[in-house]
Amino acid sequence: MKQTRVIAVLNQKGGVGKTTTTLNLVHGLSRKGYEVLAMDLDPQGQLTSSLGLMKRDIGGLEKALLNGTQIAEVTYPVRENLKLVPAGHGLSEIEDRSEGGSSRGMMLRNILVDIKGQYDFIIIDCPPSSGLLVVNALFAVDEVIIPMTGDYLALQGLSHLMSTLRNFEKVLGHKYKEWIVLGRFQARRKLSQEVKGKLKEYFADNMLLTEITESVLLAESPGFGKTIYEYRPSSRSAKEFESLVDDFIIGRTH
Amino acid sequence: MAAMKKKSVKKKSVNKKTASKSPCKQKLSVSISHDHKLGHDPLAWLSGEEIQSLSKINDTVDPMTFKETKIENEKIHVPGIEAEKNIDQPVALEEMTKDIDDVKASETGSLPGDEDKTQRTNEDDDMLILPEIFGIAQAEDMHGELSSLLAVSGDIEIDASTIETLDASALQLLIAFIKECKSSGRNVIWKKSSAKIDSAASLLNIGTLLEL
Repeated sequence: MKQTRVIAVLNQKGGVGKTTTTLNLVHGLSRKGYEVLAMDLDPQGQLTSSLGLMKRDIGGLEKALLNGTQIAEVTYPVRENLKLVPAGHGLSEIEDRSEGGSSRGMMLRNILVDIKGQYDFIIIDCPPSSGLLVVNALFAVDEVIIPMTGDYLALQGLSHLMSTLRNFEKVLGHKYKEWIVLGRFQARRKLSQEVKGKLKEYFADNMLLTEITESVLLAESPGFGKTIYEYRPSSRSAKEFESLVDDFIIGRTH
Repeated sequence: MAAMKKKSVKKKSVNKKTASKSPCKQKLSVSISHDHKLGHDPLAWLSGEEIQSLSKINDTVDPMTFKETKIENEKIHVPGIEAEKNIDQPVALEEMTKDIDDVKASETGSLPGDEDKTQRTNEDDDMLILPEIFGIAQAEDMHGELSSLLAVSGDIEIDASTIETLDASALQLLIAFIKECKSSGRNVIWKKSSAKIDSAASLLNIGTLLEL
């Protein structure tokens, strides 16, 4: 029985690199031999398509959450040591769910109970929202990875997210382990450097050491259903993500 | 590209004595210092600091117009646990486009207080970092960036260390850029070259034109 780390990749601000981070992190971990389950909790299904599952008519996470389908039936091997629970049609219906009472926020947590122990990592790509899907993720995980970009609005969004996490911690009675990943980084911009400095000031122990430089290659690879290691294995981006994976495994921070 | 004159941004401060005596005549102005690019610190509440700690920034902001930004506890309906609180469903943010063009567009966008939106400061933008893939598809974007660099004064440093592929369009663009720099009396310094550029220059015998 494995000691499973359950992590949500989360930021309610869009465009900060959640899916890119999730995509290359899950594959990076599986390439190192860890058993990884990736879950696409975003109705847009971008992690699903980025890993090469372009068909949207396959059953996904919504079947397990809404219809009681066994999670194993909607889990697909996508790479060696890497499996995916895709975002299927109907996942967005969960956001609109009004009946169900207290169980609405616990759906994901409940289905993970059966599969914890099978994987070293369960990593959930969350949508850029603060709705019921994210609530489910926050109830289900022990760790949160927060992708960040080097601009003021991202910092403002982080502030808001931190407030949300504190609220959840009060309710749950435990603290999340938070990891900050600085991505889409443009070292030449003074603003980016200042934002980086601000993050180090507040989150030195939580901010993973490697920053991911802005690169068009990271934007291109999903279009081919590939991770950066497959698309451009010798690129700086691939090396940065390999380093980030190591940071995450050993908890290497600033 | 005509060099644009830098307009000096004078810092105006609120005279406290004047303010106390005749608030109507008080000059309210907001001037943004270019020393810091990050103004307000939205994370200040984490360390229990007052958000309106104006001493941390160079701006002089009229407190009457500075909005309270203290983070209030978000009302989150936790089903079955805090049932009495109202459901506060923040509007889901639309997914921002991930296209690199938007990133570049945001680079050329204006900062608050900038009087010249096309101007780039010398300290920020005297380094040109060439992209990993530099070809005809990237030429249009790069042309815009090079044009902006031509507007600043001073020498220009080029970092080509990350180049993986480039084609003749890229080389043409670089040659034109270097030629333009030289004609306006500026030096182009190859801070970090790359084997790709060196071999292309050697093959095409354009090393002199590239100032390698």
